[in-house]
Amino acid sequence: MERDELRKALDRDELDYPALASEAGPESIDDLEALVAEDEPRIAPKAAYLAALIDADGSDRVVDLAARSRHDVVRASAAAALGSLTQGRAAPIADRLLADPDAGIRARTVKSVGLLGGEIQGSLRKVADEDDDPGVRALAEELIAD
Amino acid sequence: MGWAPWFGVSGGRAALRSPISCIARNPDHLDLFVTGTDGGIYSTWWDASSGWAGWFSVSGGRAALGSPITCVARNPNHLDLFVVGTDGGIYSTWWDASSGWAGWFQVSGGRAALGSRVEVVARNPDHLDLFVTGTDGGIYSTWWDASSGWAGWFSVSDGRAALGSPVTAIARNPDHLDLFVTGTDGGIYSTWWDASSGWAGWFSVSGGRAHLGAPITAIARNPNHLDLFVTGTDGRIYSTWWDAASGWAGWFNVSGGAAAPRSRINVVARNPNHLDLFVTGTDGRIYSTWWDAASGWGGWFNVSGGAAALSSPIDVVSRYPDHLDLFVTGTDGGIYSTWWHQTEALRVHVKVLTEPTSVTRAQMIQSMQDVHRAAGIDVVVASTETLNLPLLTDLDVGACTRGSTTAEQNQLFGNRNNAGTDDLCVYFVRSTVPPLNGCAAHPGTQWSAVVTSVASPWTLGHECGHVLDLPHVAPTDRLMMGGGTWNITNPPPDLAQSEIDTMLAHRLVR
Repeated sequence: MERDELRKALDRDELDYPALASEAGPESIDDLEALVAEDEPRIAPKAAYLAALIDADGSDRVVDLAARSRHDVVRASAAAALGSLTQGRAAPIADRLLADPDAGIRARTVKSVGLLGGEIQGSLRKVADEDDDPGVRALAEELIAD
Repeated sequence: MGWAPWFGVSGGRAALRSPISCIARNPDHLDLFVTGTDGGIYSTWWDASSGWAGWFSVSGGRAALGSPITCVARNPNHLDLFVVGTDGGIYSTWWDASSGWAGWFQVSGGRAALGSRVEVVARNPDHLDLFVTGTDGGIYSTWWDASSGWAGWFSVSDGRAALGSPVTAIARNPDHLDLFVTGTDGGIYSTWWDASSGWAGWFSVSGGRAHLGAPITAIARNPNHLDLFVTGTDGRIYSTWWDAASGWAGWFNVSGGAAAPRSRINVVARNPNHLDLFVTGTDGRIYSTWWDAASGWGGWFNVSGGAAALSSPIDVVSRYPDHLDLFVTGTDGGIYSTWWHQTEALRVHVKVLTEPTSVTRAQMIQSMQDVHRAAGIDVVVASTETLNLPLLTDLDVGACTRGSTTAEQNQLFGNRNNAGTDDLCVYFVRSTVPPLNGCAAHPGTQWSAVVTSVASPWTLGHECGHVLDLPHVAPTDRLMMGGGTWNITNPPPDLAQSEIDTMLAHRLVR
């Protein structure tokens, strides 16, 4: 898909992400990175999420770029997208997002880490003990207990 | 409900407070009559096929500024007009579809004070009864019958009123008349005529009082019931009723309403179980309230921001049970109209977790209201509530498919404060997981939708459309276009008639 086609597909109100991921394929990662780099809240969150779902080389780079956005809605998307990356690709981005000033973004990151399972879940202990928000701490504790 | 903005009627003008007489000879036609600023008697008409016509002089007739023109349609192809002329004579003319307007003639030599209202009732298509307060303060009547022509004037049971007092007459059935007037002592009096017994004596109506000359408004919602309205001596709006089964009730204030002394209360019964009242309030704004057999009296509300000089009468006609037309002389002397058309309503409760950043929430709601209004659906924001749920503002909506919801959606949609069973709750969140502009998936009949902070002005209406069973469509100028409402062409977007029909059939639209 050309970048403009990709942008158009992402600009819908409701998207079928799995179908779009199949259609766009790994070759769209650079275009998705460019769309995230534009940092436009209407498109960048969707581009980051789609890149993670494609799960190709460079997907983590796109999600990491989103995790550094000045827009909370883009970082929230990066937090959700983590759950579609492999553990190795997700870990450094998770560390950044678990320190995000926004409790909702930290909570979404905790949920994504919980989905991934494995060693990355070790980071949840610190959240359960130290996060400023009691809701986020409780969420992390719940996932550790599970 | 669907009130239109006020508009000027063909540039017509009249002295402040001039009554506009309106009659619907048939449901798709209106005739208006007024005394213009030069004392000429003017008319215009509206027809569903051609809209408003220009004003024209009615056979050169003249009257004192502000004089009421009364009108009756004995049949759909005939009008009879009555007025007190500039010499105090009571004059009439008629229009017939076959012959057009006739010249004015004096009715049996009758006279009244300048500006007096000549009341007319057609008990049947071949008979007219006229009532007026004469120059000596006596209450007089005459009649016209197709078989015998005009009769002479006679005193109605020796009744008296202040000069210029309007006499209100109503025919509950073809063989019965009820009259109402404010008497010389400020008491509200009534008498009746029945074909079997003739005229009765005057009697006080439940001890009611009003300023001398105050008009009494009467309406018969059915042949065995009368409702009366008047502005009382304390400036409050009062009502009483008579029912064949129980007689006269006591007077009561209508929903706290008030108006300048002698203000005329105009009333219409769109159906036998509903009344709509109109009056110019003490602040010069035009107010309405309603009574419904199912819910009683509503509160007064300003009609479309309308205003008029104190005591200005608001004439009202109901051409259809779901339609009202109003007419008034405005504060600038222009003749204005508005209409109300019954619409269906969709009650929406707004729940805010995160305010939108793309466009304001108010813009989203306005955009939705605009699109739905064109479809005859009023979007009513029934309540607005802020929800402090930071862990749900990036909401997992799963695949966002109809009837399938996530634990997070179920948790959020449990917040339905103020919402009835058939009300729609819309949740403004920061984002969804996966990122969408909105999602209409909801559990069963827990009618809900979410809208994100990056949504377009049309996303709210689009998602609510899904709740009302509308699918995506391809055309880019439609609300339900699947290509993204940010990319709608030729806004505001349209709803196809089939979509409107689907929405109107949904239980949420009522």
